[in-house]
Amino acid sequence: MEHKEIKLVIDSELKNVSLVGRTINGLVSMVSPCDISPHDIELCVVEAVNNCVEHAYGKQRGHEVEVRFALGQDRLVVDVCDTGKPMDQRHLAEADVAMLEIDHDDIDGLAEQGRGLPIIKEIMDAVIYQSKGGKNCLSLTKFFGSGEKTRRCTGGQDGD
Amino acid sequence: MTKNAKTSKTAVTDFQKSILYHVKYSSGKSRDQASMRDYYKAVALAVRERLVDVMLATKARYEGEDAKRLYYLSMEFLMGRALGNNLYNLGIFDLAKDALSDMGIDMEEIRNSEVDAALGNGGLGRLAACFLDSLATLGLPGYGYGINYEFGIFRQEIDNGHQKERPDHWYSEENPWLMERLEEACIVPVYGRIEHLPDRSGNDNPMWLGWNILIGVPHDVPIVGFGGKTVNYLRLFSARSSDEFDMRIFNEGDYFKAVQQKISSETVSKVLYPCDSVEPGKELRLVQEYFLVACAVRDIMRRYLGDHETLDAFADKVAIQLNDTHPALTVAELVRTFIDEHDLDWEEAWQITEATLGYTNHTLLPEALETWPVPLLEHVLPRHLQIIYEINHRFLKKVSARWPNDGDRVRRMSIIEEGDTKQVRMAHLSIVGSHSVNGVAALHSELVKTSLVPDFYQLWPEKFNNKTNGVTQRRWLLKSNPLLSELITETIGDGWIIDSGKLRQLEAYADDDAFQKRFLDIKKANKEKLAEVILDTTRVQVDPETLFDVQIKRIHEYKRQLLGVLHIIYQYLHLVNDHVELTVPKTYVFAGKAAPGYFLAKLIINLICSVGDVINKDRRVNRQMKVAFMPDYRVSLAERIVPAADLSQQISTAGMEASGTGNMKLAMNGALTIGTLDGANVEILEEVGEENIYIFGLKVEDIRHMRNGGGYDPWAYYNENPNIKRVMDAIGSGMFSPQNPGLFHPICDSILRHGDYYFHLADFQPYLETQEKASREYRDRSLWARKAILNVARTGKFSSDRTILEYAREIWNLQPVP
Amino acid sequence: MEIEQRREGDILVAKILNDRLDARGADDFRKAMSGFVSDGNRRIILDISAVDFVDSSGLGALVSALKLMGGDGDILICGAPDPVMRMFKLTRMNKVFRIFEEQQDAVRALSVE
Repeated sequence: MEHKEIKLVIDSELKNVSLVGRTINGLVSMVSPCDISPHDIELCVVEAVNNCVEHAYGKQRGHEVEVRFALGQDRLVVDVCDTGKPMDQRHLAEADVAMLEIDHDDIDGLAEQGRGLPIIKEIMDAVIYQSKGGKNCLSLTKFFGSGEKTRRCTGGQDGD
Repeated sequence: MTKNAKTSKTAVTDFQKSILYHVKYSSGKSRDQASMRDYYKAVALAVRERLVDVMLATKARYEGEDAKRLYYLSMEFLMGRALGNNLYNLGIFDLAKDALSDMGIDMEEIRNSEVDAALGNGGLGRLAACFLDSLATLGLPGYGYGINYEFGIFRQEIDNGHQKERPDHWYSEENPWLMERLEEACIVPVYGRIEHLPDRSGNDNPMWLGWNILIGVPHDVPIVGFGGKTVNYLRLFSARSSDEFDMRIFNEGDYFKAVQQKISSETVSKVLYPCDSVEPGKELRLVQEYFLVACAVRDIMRRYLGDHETLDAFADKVAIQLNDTHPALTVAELVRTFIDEHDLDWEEAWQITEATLGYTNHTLLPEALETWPVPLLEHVLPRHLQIIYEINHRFLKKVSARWPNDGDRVRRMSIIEEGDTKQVRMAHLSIVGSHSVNGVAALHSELVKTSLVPDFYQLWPEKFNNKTNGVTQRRWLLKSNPLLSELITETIGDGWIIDSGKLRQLEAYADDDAFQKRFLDIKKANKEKLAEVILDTTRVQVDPETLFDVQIKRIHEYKRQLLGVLHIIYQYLHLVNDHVELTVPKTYVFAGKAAPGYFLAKLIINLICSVGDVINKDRRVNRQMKVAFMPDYRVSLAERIVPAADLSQQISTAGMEASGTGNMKLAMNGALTIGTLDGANVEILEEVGEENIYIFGLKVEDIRHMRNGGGYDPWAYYNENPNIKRVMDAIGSGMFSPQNPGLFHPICDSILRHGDYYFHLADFQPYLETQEKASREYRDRSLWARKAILNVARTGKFSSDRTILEYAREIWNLQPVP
Repeated sequence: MEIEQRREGDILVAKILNDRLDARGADDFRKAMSGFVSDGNRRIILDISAVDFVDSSGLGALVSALKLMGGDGDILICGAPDPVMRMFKLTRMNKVFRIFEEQQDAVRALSVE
């Protein structure tokens, strides 16, 4: 696949996450078609990077989180990689938008965590997790629509 | 195996030099200007150098022994990609990979730059390709003869669930594997009229005059056998305009007449007809068939007469196999050549023709049996029609002598079908003109004898035989499934690559825990790779942990993709309405092209895609089912799907699939077959054992009975089986086409109102139960692994090497020239 | 985390001045909210018109504040920009919190109760 790729690396600290998020948002608004929301892609990437910092590295500083942004003919792909503790594949498999449903009668039982993966799976078209040779990558793919909507946005306006 | 061939430094450097040479001098580019496609071409040309060396040596070997040659005439050759296959067969795959990676180039990317040579529609064309691989591997002097179509089978795109046909230009002009042989071009007359003029002795001498000219230019594709010792070739003819040859025609004297070209000659090899049953009366198709036959016969005669003074030994030195009736005109063309150009008398000419020709039947479908209108034949090939009449006249005399006063039989057997427009029956012409007639699976060959042409079987039982199809394990296992190949070789050695019977030795490991685990891990890895391709091509994300249920083949009602869809809908409704979870989560993979004019087949594609859309988006399904229709099914895509399949759908209406070869490829790669007793499924059952295959449904006799007795009423099934009713109602209600609720009514009608000719509803319940059994057994991973391993171990019979050895021994009398 | 506070009767109107409510600020926010609740505030309007990004950790903090009320009290949200509103809908937060476009609408809603 012909593509353009940009790699961002941050130290594993929550304060750095917004840097990556804003950069991705900027990249998406610059290069991808109007039917893709830069905010939504940013949200998914932020969730993924948060997971790396909080779970793979247990909030320990001094490790790398690598974010690769690639633009293909019909899709954009963001890989978020760490070298920490691998995630159990089942978390991803079981994450489902149904987990976001709420029970009105049980506000106390409302979860305060665990919405990250379901959000990612709902927004992205494909989410693949691979753990190989000590490196864990969550690969997020979003396809562009077809026809009219794929025109590039002009004037750098937000695609929302 | 290739691994063992230690790649020496110098060999790697030499190969690199050769690549760089071709980048520079064949593409005319510097290294940094060269694109991936330039590199692909350079690598192919570097490989071709090696092929040519062996090809010349092979030719000398055959000539030295005056070997008998086999010519496999086929309108279709579905070759797929050649680079990987050539590298494996030459034993230099690893060398090439090392050479490339040293230059910073990824072998996979290079291989993916190659366009499939898709000069065929389906099984018949792919069979021809597998045969060429086996002939070369076995050191047999056998060549493929076909047409160098500028456009092969169309490229299929799926647009909003609809098949769109796009032209497939397979770049024949710049294809690195094709070698043009301008010096061996031949002249083919077509059209014109017959004039009865007396010859010198005053006898009647019908002369074919006033014809137009086609020029056939051969292009050779080298075909290397495994081990790299033999390189045969596939000769593909392009039709050219005759302008540049006009002078020569004049110079050859008064036998030739320069004539005005009435047809644009080059259109003849322009495009492959994208249909398995050619629409009758297509003049261009008839000209194409004749063009192949005429070019081939001229070429064969030239080679034979180069080494022999007389035609006495022709049938001892030449065997010609007709791949279905498409090249059936060979019968008339040989007779014509012998009589008109070499002055043989009829009896001699006929005897040689019959002894030379063999005919393979590929279909029992009445609509696929080729006939040509007599007026058309008279217009295009007047002399050939005359000869066909003479053949028929002499043949019917024999029939009448054997069965006096049986006018019905004479009418049934005649090569000419009477009627408003008389038709030439090409199958009858082929049977009469050949010494051998074979079917392509045991069941099919029986049906040829008993149902298709029983009269001919009674007359010549000795002509009829069976040659069960096969597939080359080199492409379909060694190359397409490298992980499994490595495991097999590590376990039992590499002998299986040229002797598929050795796969039996794997039986000993079927219950071995460690082997089972590795086998399952490999299947999983293949499924992961396929999942990526599915995502890339369909945007559907599938889970490699699920059971991969695949149905990949041309889309046709008799192959019953529809039965598969009915079952999927049943499962879906059961899941979301009855809240019953599937026994095992499943991914359904479909792929296949529909003939552009086949409305229902295209609607079935639409239905698969629409059902997929609904299911894939329905949250309630919750990962239990996914349906993917992968666009543009072709050899290279099949090579990705086959190694990743768990369950192989072979569910044609019994008695309709001649053999099938997809069933063999899939079983060989450890997919379990769910199928009817049709085609080669019957023999797969015999080989793998009934506990390792899922057989269901009506048998040939049942179907014959139900058709004849007229006792089949699809409405009764609909009314009595609530599962069927629910599924049919869902389709009819527009559940899968909310924008256009009537969209799929023609499908419902074909089943409920028009009698369900292919017995979908009669086989539905048994199919559902058998699917359920397969799902249950899949959950027992060790049990499933055992069955899958036994499938690999026991499908050695289905190597095309076995098939070709049988043809060589029993039909062609062909000896290896090692 | 900077929060501007204002009172309208017994209603606390708290406006988040940061542009992100994310994992980094979630703990601070949670503490601030917990402070409001322990100060006896039971009717809180959260003005997030300056916040252009909320992630799932930010949501978690909102939920946690609501739970602190123990069913005795209410948190209303106002001023969510479009992308944030979409995120609330996706995560069904629009069913947990009453959400208004304008601050005065939220104040009015609480005042009439």
